[in-house]
Amino acid sequence: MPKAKPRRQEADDDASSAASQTSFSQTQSNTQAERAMAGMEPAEQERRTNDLVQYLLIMDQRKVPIKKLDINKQVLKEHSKAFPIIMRSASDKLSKVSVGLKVIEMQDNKQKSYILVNEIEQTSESQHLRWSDEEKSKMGLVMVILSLVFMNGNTMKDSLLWHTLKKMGVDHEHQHEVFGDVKKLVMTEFVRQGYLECIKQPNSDPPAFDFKWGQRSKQETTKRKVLQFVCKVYEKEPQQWTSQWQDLLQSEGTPNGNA
Amino acid sequence: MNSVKSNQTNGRDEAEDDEVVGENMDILQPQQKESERRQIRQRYRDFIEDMQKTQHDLINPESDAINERLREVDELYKPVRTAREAALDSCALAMIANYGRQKAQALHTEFVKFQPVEFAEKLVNLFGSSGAGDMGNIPFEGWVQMGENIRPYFNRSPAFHFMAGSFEKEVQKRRPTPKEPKDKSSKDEKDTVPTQLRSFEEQQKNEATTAEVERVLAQLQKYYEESEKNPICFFEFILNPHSFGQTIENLFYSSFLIRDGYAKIFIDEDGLPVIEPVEKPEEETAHEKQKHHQTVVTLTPQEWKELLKVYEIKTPMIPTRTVEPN
Repeated sequence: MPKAKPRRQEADDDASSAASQTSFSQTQSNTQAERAMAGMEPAEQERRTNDLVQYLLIMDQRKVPIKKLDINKQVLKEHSKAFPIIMRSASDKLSKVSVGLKVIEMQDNKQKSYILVNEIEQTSESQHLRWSDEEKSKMGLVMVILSLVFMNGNTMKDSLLWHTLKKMGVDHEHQHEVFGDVKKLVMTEFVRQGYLECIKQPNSDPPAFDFKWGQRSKQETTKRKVLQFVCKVYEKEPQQWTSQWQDLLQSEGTPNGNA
Repeated sequence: MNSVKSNQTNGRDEAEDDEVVGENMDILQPQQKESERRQIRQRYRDFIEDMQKTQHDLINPESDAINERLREVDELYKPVRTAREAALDSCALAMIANYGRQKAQALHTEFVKFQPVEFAEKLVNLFGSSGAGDMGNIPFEGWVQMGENIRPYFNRSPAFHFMAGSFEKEVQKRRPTPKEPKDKSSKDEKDTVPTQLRSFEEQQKNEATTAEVERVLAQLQKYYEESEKNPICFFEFILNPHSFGQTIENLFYSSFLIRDGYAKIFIDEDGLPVIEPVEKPEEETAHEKQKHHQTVVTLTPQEWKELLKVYEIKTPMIPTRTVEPN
């Protein structure tokens, strides 16, 4: 559960907590956050929590992971010490109380950031969540790339990706009528949003890249779903793709297999 | 390739020689001739370059080329004694390892093999327009349709919107204020300096011309008085026997006198042009109103020489101007 994570890792951030005392740091950071909470009026706690909920919803529009740094700067301000507790209650509100959104902490060692993911399973019949045409076309492209990467063994060289997309009229060297600057969209926007990871190959000149699934993709979809999509396109059964089938069984078998 | 191979045999020989001395000594004696080290590095660079060229052969699961390469680089390493060459060796090894990884990825064991291009073609068939001219292309509608189809596959959080819209982000304008005065001041400085200089030069020029015109007028008035107010022969007045250029200048300056009404030129009884100063301004204006001719006068060096002979001019009426150094 992601809700527990912020609390535990908060300790590492606090300069005051001694890094060596790992067993001690958890309780210490707890008390620190609790102390910060105790210094706030209940109404103030409520207000900050609601502010955070609203802030998360608004920032989610851009689909770029929301930085803890920004949350502290924009919402919590002088109460940033209480971040773990307020974040937990805001996550609870988003999940149970209101809209069924899950707050996920990104696994990034540089800085903590969060994304929102829909908790409610989607079906083709559920028509109440609509995407804009722009969203649809971009997500179509995301799905194509995720399929290619997964089917290609969870990684794909940029040259092969461009080569394949070109067959669909999406040329990264030319303006596309729907996507504009394709290279920028794929390598910058999708990567920043967490749909893709773009890793530079060592010792490559000119630089070559490997594409992998980003963290958001692992949260918003699964290998099984992507394989289903591919099977629809091919009109085949998932089991016919032996290695991919094994891969997804393996990932589902382990509790954190998606990562 | 041949040169690389011969280099390799050399390298092996050297390595064998070294082994005679003893392996421990090799390690303890890093001293190696610079030329030898350069040779080793050259071999490594050739090797790396060659690997880059043959990259696709190396990662082909069907070929054994990468093992061959590994053996080759082992040979290359034998004469290496110092860190710099060893760094190249690790670079080459890293490349081989990288290619090995790619080779492993390229190896497909399953019965049904995924072909990216085939997948792309199927998508084009599904979502591309049926028009014959649109081969290998998915139009906007196709992408939208695909997006609609894959929506259930994503637990994407819906975009949050305010019912009555939200405030637009204000674009902060910070830049212009501090920058403009700087630009202006620098521009001003740049502008004023050259214009001042230019006008100064021009002024001087104008002044020089005006001064000359005044001098010529003074001369004319002097000779006019001397000849008891008889008109002066125009050619005698302007001709300078020492300089054709100064003659032309005199002609030029006297034309100003005529234009501004300080003198007049007319034809005397002999049919020759004469010049006399205009004394009274009132008379001058009346005169100017009466006739105002424009004439283009030509004077070639030949004509100038002839005129000098005819009029037997030895000294100029208008003194020769000293040439200003400019």
